[in-house]
Amino acid sequence: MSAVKLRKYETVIVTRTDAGQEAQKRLYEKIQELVQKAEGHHVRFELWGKRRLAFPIKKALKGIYLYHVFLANDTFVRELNRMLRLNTNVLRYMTIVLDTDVDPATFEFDKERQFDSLPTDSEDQGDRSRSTTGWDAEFQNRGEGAATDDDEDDEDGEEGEDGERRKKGDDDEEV
Amino acid sequence: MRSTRPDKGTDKKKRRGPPRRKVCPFCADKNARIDYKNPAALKRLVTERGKIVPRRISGVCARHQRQVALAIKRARHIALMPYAATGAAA
Repeated sequence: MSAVKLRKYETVIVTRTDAGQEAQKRLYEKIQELVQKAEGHHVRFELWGKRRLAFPIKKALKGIYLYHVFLANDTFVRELNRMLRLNTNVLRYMTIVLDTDVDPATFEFDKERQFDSLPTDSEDQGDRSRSTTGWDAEFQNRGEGAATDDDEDDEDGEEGEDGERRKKGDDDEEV
Repeated sequence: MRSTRPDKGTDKKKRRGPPRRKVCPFCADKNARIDYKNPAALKRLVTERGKIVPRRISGVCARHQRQVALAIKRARHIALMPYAATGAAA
């Protein structure tokens, strides 16, 4: 077995919405090429679809979000980021290390493998009903977390009442 | 721990002593992940203007606040969350 340890990376890429199917395909193939050149592994590709940006980037209000997971080394990431920086269709990109010292021989690819189809021109609004990432399916308890937040709000309300009553109490003291 | 709850009655008249200790929502719910890819979950840790809510308000513990801050900053970078929101642009 190869003793080469790789790192697990995830990359989010935001492209222009008017990049077109051809450019998307070229970008994807370029990524594949870089993965092969670096002898890494492409683990996962998700298409989050067209989303409204929280703020305009280069006058664009919307972007197409692409999400990749790789097993590779640092030179791969350097090349990938360089390529993304030069690509004018890419508005933003971000690569994050998820895990270090991953042995590709024992890594369970099947657990995370997922390859969405590439963005097409016809896809007008994207699939916004879909959650941002497959991880959401794993951590469904998040909804409950939001529910506990409501409790907190209630407490805040009580505090407000406390404040009012205290004021009344102060008045009494003055009298 | 809700140890301050029972004496709420007396607490209401004169609110002296330490304020109610808030429990870190991430310590309470082990399943809740702090992830920049989930802006909906991070939204409640940010003001309407997009600022990160301080720990003393949100009750998040120091350890999780660090993770929250990092996640929000990452989400901002890829435009999933705003750096700053004006009334009109939000």
